[in-house]
Amino acid sequence: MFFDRDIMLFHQEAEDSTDIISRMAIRLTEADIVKRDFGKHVLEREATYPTGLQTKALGVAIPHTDSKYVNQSQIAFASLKKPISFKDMTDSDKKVEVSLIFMIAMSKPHDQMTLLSNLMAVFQNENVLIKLLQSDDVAEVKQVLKTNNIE
Amino acid sequence: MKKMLIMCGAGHATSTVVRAKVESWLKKEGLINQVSIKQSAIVDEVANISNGNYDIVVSTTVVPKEIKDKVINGVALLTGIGAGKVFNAVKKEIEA
Repeated sequence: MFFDRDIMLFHQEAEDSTDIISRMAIRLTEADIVKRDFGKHVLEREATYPTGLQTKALGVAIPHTDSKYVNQSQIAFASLKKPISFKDMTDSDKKVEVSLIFMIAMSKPHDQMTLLSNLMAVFQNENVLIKLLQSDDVAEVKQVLKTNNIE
Repeated sequence: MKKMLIMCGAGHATSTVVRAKVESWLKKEGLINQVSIKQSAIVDEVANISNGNYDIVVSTTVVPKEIKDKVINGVALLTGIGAGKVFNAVKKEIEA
């Protein structure tokens, strides 16, 4: 259900984190999954409370904001051709070179905790992350996530 | 009873995941009855932390310098890299 609206952008060439966040937020807005100012608030939050995470395999980011800007719980997925810098989740002075972005839109504050935990578990699985990075097919990405109990 | 705060930027996403991990670990260790857990967003908690209202604080987000030494970095529970260290730090505070 988190990926049933197929908001996925593959092998993007992005200028910087603001660029890719904006692209993803626009897709979510166009699909009416989020409210119009969702993107603006994600960018603001990312500046203050960044979401870059260094995993063993590669850098990931999970930009998100308050559930009041969300109509329907959903996650947008993006892979990047070349990694771009995000600030580190616990240290704004550090940078993480990010290749995969999961933009989390939750319509209720504590929605889908199991799903989120499973998503975080995927971050610990190098093979899965690399598969996600290489794919350019919506059905394939969904299948990979489904086998890891994320759907 | 020790008071634990688990916080992230929004108080929704990553703190929810960390809370689930911490709770299952507390159960496994037989410590669940010794800790009360609150989950929140950092903006609402900086003053409370400075005032020493919590015994244990686990954060998945950037914290201001003035409270840094009172906060355990919980990002390892998201990435799995160094999760044991986080649990050890929490355990030390529970036993303190």
